[in-house]
Amino acid sequence: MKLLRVKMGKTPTWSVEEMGAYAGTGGRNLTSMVVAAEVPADCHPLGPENKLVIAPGLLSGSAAAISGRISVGCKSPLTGGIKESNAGGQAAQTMARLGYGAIVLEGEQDSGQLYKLIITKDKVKLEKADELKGLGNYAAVEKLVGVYGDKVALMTIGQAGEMKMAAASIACTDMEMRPTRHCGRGGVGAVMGAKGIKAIIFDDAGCSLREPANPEAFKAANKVFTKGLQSHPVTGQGLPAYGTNVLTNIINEAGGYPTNNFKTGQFAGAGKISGETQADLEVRRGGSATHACHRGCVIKCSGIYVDKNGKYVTKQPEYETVWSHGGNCGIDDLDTIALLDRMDDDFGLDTIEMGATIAVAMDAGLAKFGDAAAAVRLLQEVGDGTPLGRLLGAGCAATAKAYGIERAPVVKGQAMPAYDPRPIQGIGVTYATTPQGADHTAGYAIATNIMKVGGFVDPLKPQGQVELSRNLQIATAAIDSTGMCLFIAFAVLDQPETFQALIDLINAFFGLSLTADDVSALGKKVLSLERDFNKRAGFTKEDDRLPLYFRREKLEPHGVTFTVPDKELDQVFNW
Amino acid sequence: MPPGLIRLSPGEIDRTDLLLKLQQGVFLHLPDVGGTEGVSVTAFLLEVLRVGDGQFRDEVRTMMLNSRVVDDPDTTWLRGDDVLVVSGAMPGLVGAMLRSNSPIKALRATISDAGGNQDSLSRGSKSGFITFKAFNTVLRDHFDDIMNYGAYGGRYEA
Repeated sequence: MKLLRVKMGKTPTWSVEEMGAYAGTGGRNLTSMVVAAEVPADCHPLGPENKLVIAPGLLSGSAAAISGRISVGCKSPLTGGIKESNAGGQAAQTMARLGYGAIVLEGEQDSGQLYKLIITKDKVKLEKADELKGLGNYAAVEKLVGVYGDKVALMTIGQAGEMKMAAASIACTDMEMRPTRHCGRGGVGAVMGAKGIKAIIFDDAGCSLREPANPEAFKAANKVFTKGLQSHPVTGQGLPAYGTNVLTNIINEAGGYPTNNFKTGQFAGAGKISGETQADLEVRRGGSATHACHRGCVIKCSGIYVDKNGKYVTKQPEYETVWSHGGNCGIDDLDTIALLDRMDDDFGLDTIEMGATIAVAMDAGLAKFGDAAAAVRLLQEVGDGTPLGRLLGAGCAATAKAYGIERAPVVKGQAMPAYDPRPIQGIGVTYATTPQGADHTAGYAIATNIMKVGGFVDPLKPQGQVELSRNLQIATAAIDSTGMCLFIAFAVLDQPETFQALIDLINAFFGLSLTADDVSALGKKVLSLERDFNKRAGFTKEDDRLPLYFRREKLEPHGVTFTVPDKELDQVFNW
Repeated sequence: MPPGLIRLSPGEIDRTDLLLKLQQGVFLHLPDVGGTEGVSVTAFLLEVLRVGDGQFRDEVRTMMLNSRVVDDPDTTWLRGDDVLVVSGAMPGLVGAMLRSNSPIKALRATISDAGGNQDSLSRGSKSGFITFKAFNTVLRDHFDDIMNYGAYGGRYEA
């Protein structure tokens, strides 16, 4: 694998290097290593010293099932700390097949000139992209497909990235050449905009699958791994049938569904926007409730959302999006939520951050909770770059500050996802302590087999929230480095043979003999790198906290506050 | 039957409307089986879903009673006016937490049904009607079973 380093400036240049110290790494491990080693922690996130690192996972580009996640890392304009944001789509597979382990975008482009980076089997080109200026992701992709065809993979930014908004995302095209898969969190799109890169085109024509060191062992492990995913009730049945939005009803029932900007834990309109209702609607209208976001995905948790006339609107909105633009804003209309999702994807915005921001705006009196038309209008202001839109595009914390609202559900400046940490306190520990800012996926890899080596957890005994959160974060950091979708965690949790097959896949591909202990060590290493960067950027233990109102305001129906003591939060990374 | 309830019939009501009603809650009859404890969650669901014990444990991975997780359905007893939720296995960290007897159940200790069986004994009548909600694959796979058991709604407006 090679490393492509692109230096932006008056006359942009690029060079292809050996991976060097980064050899044998991938995904989040690689992006965090580069950021920690090469980015001054005290730099401005939009300045020339920051770097945007793009890396496929360890197994991306191979025949390994569901290995198509791509990681993007940098110093975050939203949090001011280290950031890794990953997405599905086709980019990881094609970039890895082209033989690139990482792309590092350096310098800045302050003249307003935009470029496109074109990578083919034998060439790298950097060309001006005047024809793409000011375009949303959908229009930009359409133009690029007209030139480069529909077999390439694209990473693009929309208007939000060009305007360097802190909520800006980077879009990755899916199998249908739609910009629906986003590295959403932390404002990574703003950093790409600051570098002046509007689009990256991966054309892997003439390239083939990455070959494993031990083909027979790899094939055997992949077979067991795939079978494990397909036979598990979550990855084989629930997710393909309903997608992640199947969570709406149960989280609402548990009283942990943040409603009207985290004021209550249950939303009366939950059933109208649930995954079950959404899937029924999609199928009746001629869309689809089962769809893969990249080649090689065997779970197929996505879908196609169409309007009343059967016309494509957007991919199936995920649970987090349905919540952020739905219940959190008091909106119970799936068509409005799908439109907002489409707008986010087109402008290039993080759906979680924007839904949380609109809810804060509603709290500030800019609109009433439940006013769907107002939510669309506010989001349009962001895409148009009006003064109000610029403020909203800066995210939830900035908007709350501007309007004098205490109830900003953020940690390290990043909006919380769709689980209230008062009734579900364990996730509050992860929100508070992850180096990434409030992020449900930071402690997602529910793998008892991994946890056993990260610190043994006996399922028959009650365990502290802190120890579990620590182990979940370690396991997640490791899986984020493989390029595997985190949804593999469910099968790995329940089926020891599926977990072993994952280890066997990595070993067979690289000719290694890793054990579960090595996976745990990798996760710890990544977290340590990230914590150290944040410390150098000025973060202290006081940043590992939820906003105080979560300790003061009781959430109904359970009437609970967040009660995990600070001294316990401070123990999460003591290993 | 309390006044105002009507039997929900698939032949008379659109299936999409019924799917939504089952998510939002329908009324099911809770029979009086004698004894002091009444009907357990397990016994009730075996009857409603028309499944054997093994299939029940395979398919019903998440149960909530009055917004609290049921970790031991065999010894959690139902009472009239309870709200019972059943679902297949849920995705996500929180979805995994909410599973009955999840290995990471400590993460949702605040809403676990600690000592629930004693609470249920003093909660109310052993029979009557409960509010029943079905999600995920349980809704998909047992829609007809629930309808056949007898689901009731209040003052249905088409």
